[in-house]
Amino acid sequence: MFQNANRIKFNRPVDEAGRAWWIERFYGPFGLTPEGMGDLITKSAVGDKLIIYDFIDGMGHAFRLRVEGSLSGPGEVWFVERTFELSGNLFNADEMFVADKIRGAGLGRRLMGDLIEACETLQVDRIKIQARNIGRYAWLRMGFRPDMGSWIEMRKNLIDALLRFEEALGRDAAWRTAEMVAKGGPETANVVASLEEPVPSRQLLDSFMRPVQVPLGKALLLEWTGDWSGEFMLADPEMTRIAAKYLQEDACD
Amino acid sequence: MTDSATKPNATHPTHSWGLLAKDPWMEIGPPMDEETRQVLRRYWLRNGGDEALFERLVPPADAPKPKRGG
Repeated sequence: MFQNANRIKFNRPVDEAGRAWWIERFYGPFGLTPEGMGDLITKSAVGDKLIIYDFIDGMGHAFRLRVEGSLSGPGEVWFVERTFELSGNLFNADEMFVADKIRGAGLGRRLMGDLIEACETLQVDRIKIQARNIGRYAWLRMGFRPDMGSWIEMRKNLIDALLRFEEALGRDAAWRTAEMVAKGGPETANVVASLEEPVPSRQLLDSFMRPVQVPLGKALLLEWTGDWSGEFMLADPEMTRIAAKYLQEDACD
Repeated sequence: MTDSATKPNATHPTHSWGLLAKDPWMEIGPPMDEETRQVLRRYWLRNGGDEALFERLVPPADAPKPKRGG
């Protein structure tokens, strides 16, 4: 179970403590081998996979793995990196890559959905992420929330940006929205992501070099605020309900 | 030589639209059904937000879409 094989590789040998912990935490209750864990957290991705464990730490009750996969065609590659930490009973969704060729087909969200389902199975409370690029908007729509440190920074930038949209929104609406943001906690970021009023982009220009009209929420999160770190709380019924819808929608793709 | 207009800004990365650059109105994430909208409305009102403004900025899924001219 802990030896290198065709589909699985251990960068560091798994010691006795690591083996004992794995068997107690995952193999005994769930029948999960290290290879089975790699398959569980990427179960919706078909095709060849290579499961690579960076470490299994029996003393620290943690492991980190990377699952690399390829779909049927050349260049159709993806990978995810996940760290499990028992101390916080959480998974870190460290990295995810989907090749340009297969991007936009929903694989990224299916892989995150796989991780959420795995957390439910394994009774893990939280998933932590670093939201970058388009993920700064997309993870909020899925129910993830910034942590308090990220929210404080995000809130400052959102207020500043909203006051610059006086012309597009109207002075009263811009100020009242900024006030609402100022009073809110991290869950306010989920509302911001859903704001639909058209506003001029400062990055997207049309062929006449005029700003393209874009939804306010996307403008705020993709153009006026930075990367953020946050989490998905599986115990929060509202967050899990939103995510479940996302996965349901995907199942119909 | 750099100036403030061209200097990279870590807080506001230059381009994060990715696939959305082609269609900024493309939906990403779960559908904005009424149940999800009510959750967001509760957050909005709890923060002292104005109900009519919420209706305008987070319209129901079946509401006429805002004008997107550019």
